[in-house]
Amino acid sequence: MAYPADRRCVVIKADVHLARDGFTLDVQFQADGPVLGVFGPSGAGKTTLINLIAGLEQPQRGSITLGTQPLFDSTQNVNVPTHRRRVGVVFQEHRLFPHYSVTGNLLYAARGGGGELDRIVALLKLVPLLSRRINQLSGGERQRIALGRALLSKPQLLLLDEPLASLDLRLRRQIIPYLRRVRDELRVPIVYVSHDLTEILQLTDQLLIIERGRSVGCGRYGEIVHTDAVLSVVHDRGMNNVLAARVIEHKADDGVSVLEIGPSEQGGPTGRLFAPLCAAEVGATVSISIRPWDIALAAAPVSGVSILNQVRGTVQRCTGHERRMLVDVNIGAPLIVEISRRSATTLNIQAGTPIVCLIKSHSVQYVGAPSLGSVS
Amino acid sequence: MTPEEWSALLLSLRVALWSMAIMLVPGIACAALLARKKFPGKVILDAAIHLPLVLPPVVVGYVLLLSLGRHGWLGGWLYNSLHIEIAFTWKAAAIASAVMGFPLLVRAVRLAMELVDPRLEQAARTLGARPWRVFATITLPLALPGVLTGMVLAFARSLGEFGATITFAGNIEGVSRTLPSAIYTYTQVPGGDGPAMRLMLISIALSFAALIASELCSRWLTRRIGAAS
Repeated sequence: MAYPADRRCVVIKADVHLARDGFTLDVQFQADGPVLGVFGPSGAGKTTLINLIAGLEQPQRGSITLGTQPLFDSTQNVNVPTHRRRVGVVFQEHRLFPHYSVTGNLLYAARGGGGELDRIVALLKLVPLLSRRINQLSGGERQRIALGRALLSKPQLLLLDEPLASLDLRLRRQIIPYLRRVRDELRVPIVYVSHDLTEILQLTDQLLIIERGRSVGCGRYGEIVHTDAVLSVVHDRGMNNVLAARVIEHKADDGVSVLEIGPSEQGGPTGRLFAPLCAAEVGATVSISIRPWDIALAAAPVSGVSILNQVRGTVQRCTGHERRMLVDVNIGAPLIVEISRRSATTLNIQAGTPIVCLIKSHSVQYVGAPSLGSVS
Repeated sequence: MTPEEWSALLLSLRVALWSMAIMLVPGIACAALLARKKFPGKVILDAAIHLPLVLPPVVVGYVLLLSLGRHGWLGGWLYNSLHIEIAFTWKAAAIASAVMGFPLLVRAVRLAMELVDPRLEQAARTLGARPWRVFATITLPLALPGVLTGMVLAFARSLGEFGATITFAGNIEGVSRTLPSAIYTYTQVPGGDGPAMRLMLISIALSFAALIASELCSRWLTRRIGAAS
């Protein structure tokens, strides 16, 4: 495999400027995680950024570096043409070639021979689709083929430009596990663009936030969300906590399922959560979301309340923004909690304070289909 | 049919096929340039290609004669150094037909190429396809119905070409007397009504068949290509 062995290296670095009628894009960022999520409202310049990285558009000035290879540099007169950038793109619309078969599309860029095809076909479960015609595929199936086609070109970087935007909710949920598989098993660095924060957070917590053509923040979600600029962009656009959890058991009579979250990457404690009864099998990993304002904090466990979840954690950080306070709590996984300034003062919340998070079971939402497991 | 009539029919077919062979590659190239590229002088190229459509055919024939005739700048060189004679041969008829049919071919191909979704070409580029491969595997195949339409139009135009042909290639029996020239000749002699009528019917049938064949072909291609998105 020609994919970078160390996926923690600096994968992409960009500092670009592009101005065209009525729109200016000025973005600087550096990404070194396996997946960089690019979030911003519609019209923020997300697709333009993708086009710049892929070489489908040129910035007026700036530079884009992939690994150690400069793709574009206006000072050095470097502009690697699209077909030599080895940057795979899955577009918003599938862009499959209508005059090719499914296999023809997959093999259009295939490098590495038939073994590679078998591997991608297995990874994305494409076998039943191979004999069909493009016009006989559903939207989700088309995007899976488009993903497979891009992967078969052995890209050094995979750009996903709102690949789920044209799909309905049910199909979206079906695709995300495949993206996770690509992330975990192929180790291709991914730039994932979306205007749906919850969707991005299912894949990564490394974010680049852009608004009106400017980068307002880049880094780990739990950190950058504490800046006013980022908070103002994400707060009313689906700010959320997305956690991976394992299904421990179903209590059908009580109408709840028991989930286990964590352990966190820091090796912190694991916590158990009651959540609405779900259909996922016991042992399956699911993605859940909890809105920051649906979580209450208490100094000690509370008795005599209907709230089922009282999860112990430690305050990591606490910042004030106009009327509200954002509190980072580590409960085995990082959790962002939004409370009023008054509450924060009353509880005397500071970094290091042990705290109990009160979460109604019905504030826990399932946001994705269960993981697919791994391909042996 | 008399041998003279047969020879006119076969010559016409040969001239039409050769004229298509001559113009196909440059026609597609010009169409691609006009459909996809921006360059200085694009308007001039566009106008130059369309000129034969609006000029009197005799003028086109005369220009060809002046340049490719034995005393022309190019024709003279061809004759003196390579001993190739073009004017007043069937080759001249093919060239005259090609020049006259060229704008029809280019227009049809260009239109079809402009309808090819550039986003598919972008996708191909991100998959590592060089520009020529993008053209050969995406643009051209998807524009194929238009190429076919253009070829048939040019073929039919070639079967009917008269003015430029008679000026540049003459009206020599067995050499450059194509169907239209033959019909014209028969109408000029006493007792030529019968042969003229026969050749006229053949002309109509040929053109008609070509148009129907192209329509069927183009439908089949469009079904193969287009139904997807």
